[in-house]
Amino acid sequence: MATTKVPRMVTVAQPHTLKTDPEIVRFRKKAILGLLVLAFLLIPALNMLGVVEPHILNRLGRYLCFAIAALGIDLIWGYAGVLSLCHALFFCMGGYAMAMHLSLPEAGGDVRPEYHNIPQFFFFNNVDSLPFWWRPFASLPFTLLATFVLPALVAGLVGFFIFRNRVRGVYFSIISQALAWGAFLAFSRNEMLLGGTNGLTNFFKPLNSDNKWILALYLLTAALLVGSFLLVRWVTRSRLGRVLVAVRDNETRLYFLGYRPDLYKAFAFIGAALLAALGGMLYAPQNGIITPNAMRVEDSIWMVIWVAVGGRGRLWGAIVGALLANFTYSALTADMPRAWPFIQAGLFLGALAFPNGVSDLWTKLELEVRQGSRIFRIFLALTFIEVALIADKLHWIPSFGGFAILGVQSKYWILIAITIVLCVGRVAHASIPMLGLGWFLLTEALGLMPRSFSVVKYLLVLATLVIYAYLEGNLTSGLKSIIGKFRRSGPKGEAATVGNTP
Amino acid sequence: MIRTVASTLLAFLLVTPALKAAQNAASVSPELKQQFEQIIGKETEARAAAYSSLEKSGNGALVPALEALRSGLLERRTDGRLVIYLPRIDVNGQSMFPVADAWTLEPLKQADGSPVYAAGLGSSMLKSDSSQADSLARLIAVLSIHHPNSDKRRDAIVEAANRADTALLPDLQAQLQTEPAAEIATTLRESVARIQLSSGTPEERLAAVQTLEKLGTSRALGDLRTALDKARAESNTSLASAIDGALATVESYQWKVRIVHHTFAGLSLGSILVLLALGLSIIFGLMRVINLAHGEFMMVGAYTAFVVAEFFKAYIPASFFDYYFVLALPLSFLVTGLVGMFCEFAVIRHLYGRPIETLLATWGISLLLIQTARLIFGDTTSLTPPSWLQGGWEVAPDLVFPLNRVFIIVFCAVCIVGVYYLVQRTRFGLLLRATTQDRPIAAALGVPTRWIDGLTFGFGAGLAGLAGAIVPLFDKLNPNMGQGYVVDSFMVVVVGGVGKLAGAITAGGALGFLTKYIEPFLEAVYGKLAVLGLIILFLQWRPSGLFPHRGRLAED
Repeated sequence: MATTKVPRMVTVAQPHTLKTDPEIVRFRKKAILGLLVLAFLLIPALNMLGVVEPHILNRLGRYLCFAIAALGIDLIWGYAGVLSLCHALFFCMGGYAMAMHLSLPEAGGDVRPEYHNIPQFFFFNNVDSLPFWWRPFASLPFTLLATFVLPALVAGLVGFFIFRNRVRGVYFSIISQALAWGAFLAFSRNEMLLGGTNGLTNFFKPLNSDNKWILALYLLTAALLVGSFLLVRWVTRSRLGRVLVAVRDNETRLYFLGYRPDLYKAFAFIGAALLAALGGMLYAPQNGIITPNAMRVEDSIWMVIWVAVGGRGRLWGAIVGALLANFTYSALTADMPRAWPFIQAGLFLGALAFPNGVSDLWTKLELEVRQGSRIFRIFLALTFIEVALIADKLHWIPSFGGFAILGVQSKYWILIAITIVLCVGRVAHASIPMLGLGWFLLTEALGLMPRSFSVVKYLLVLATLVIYAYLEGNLTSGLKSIIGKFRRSGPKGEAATVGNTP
Repeated sequence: MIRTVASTLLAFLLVTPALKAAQNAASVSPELKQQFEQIIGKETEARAAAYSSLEKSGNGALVPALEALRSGLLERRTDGRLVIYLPRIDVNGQSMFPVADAWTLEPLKQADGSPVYAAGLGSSMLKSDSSQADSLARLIAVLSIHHPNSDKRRDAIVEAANRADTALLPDLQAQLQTEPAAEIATTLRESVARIQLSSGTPEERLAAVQTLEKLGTSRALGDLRTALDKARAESNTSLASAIDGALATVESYQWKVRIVHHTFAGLSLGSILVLLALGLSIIFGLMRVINLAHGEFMMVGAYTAFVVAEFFKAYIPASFFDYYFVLALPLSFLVTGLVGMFCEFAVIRHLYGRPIETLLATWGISLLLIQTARLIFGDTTSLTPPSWLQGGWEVAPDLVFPLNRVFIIVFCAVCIVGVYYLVQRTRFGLLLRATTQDRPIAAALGVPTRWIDGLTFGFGAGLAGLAGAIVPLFDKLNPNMGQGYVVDSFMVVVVGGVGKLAGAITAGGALGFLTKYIEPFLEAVYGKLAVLGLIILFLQWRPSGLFPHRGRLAED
């Protein structure tokens, strides 16, 4: 027989054996290569051709900074099981350090003689010259050092003293929340000479307006993201990483085995703080301004949700979650701003219903690929629709058809129809929602989404999810299983995937 | 016993508004009315004579009419009556002036008995011309010392002393003989002493110094210091040493007042924190759920009180408006309790055993609640506290306890006792404690643990709602109000030890005092940071709080 039809197994397979399966390894390698090509070749090329506008690339760069911070949160929460609600603070510490450097004239900051050639807010606080602790920030090496040393110091002190006293779990979260709150109040004061509630701004203008600079910063961020990912992956795959997982699973037992969980947690805390600071450092130039509003408790919790949405305990899940959540945020606040808090609350509750988030879909996909399902069609369909949208952006596609449904013109519906036709056939079921989400993410990231798609795009993504639910079984039993997952997946529930336990 | 308490409470509630109303009993004789007419009249000589005789009359009931004359709100009606236009109020959506008789201050009534309102100023408003402005102001200042309204009276008395107005000394002493209110009598003595201090004979000054020393008010400090300089310049050593002694006494008294003040403020802040922390503590003790939506439950309680107040404004006659508060408190408890039970049923129940996910879920709930409140109520609203909670209770000179804070302290104390009683003495409390201590065995003994979970969560939420219902007494409402208090109440729970009532109470009080004592030295923000730093240091010493669980319960 040419091919043996392997019967579809209901999930008993252990996903951790996927790692060693050669077919899956090849599959993953192809995916990673594709992503790298996309990030480092295609996107810059599209940017230089004018398809991806500078402000779109700038936004992508900013969200990649968030992804770096999300890696840190995955390290401390996904692996070590410590929920820290003050990471936005570390993010902002990195951001403020870089911002201090950038707002000084030595780095091209926009200063005026009438304000004594120092950042404007000093003038309005009746300060005539740069305070002594601002001066070293004029040099870039010092700034880079400060970006890493300061958050590490704070995280180290706080983490060491708090973990040493066996303050765990929710207590630690509460204290970190209070810390973030206190820091927010402090940074908002004008006497701190850090810009008060207005923050630091007036950097070198081209940093976030000139395409060359934007592209350079984007590439730098993407490269550092890959570097951080590899670094964190190396750490988590080492014995240190195993101990961190043990900390999450049963800390008391670890004490009795002779380890010092508090030191490991402090280490993870410092590591997460450093990653967040790195993200913040890259964020400041791309954002053009940094204010205390970015270090509130809400922002820290929002960061945690990125990781929850993407799938905790799997590092790339943090990156995907950060990108997905933030692009959803930017899309929804443009289309339906008043609905955003409700959707955000929905994301919170949904992230709890699906404890592994999006990475579950990928695992399902890999399982199906191993069983012989094909995903080439989906990939083709995705490529088609993206190329079509690029062509449309370049105005190569004329309007045709003449009708419009839900405000979207007929040419788009025809393109969508072609895409669907390309998918028809035996494809892996999990690839359908991945198509929907991947299309959404890619199109938003590249700024290719037509304006008229405002509500339609959410409907399309929802449609793919509904189709997936239908294909996985009866739709109602799918709903029941969602509720069942809610109930069953506790510490005694299915431990099929890493990161399931709290 | 409950009946006695209830009837006393009811009596108190009914009597207080009546007491407030009995303040406007003064009468104006026909001669004074005639002299008033001469002021409004055209003859200058008669006017001057009228001014001086009115000043001598010392009749405070004239002041409302005089002030109305000054502001152009006095009118002569067609039947010759003089009426005053009172400040605008909202009548069926329009803002109108209520009209009242100039002498008796009774509202004017139409033939059918309903009150008269004026949409705008009338055409025949009486005005005094600018040449009279000084004399009119002087007359008002003099007569205000005898004003029927106690607050205005007090202000005028203090003003007289601030001006060191010796001419008013006889008036002040005359008022002292007939003054009904004790606090104002003290103010009168103080003002008389202050005036005598600055411009009396040396014997009078010495007597004044002794009076001021006994009274110990802060207003006297400035006068005493100027008098000290003058005495030194005059080389009047006995007087100077007397003043020195007086200054020392007054300053130490003021210092004591400040301490009591801070303690009182700390107590009132602490009691709200304790109420919030009790709810949090009970919920966490039982279900190991840290409820980040607790602040939002408080907000729900506050907005419930607001809705009740609006309902009363719309449908209940104005004289009963103050009683909305009596209804708002239990209603806040019930509504917030129901909201809490619903949240528990819909979300928390499914996350049993996963505290961190529960934390995130409650955060999501809080976002929902905030946004819903924002959509329904908009961004900032304010609530009028009932009138019997406004004002203050003057225990000693310069030591005023605002009545609303007194109420907060008393109310929170009552609630704490109630919670203690509920948890320690009732069947529900017994089941609650059993489920907290050992859930499986309690379930095996037939305790409906799921029900207890729901009821407890609702109860904790209800407590937060109660705390929220009393916040509008001193603060405005906005959808984010919960977030400020929730961080503090978490700190109380962490410091106090979780699940223990004694811990929450002690820690709440301690943190309240600490915050209020530090605040005068550092600013509010740095005070908060300092308290946070102290908490972290405290946790080094006692990581599980003041009253931690012991034994098997010590492990999460």
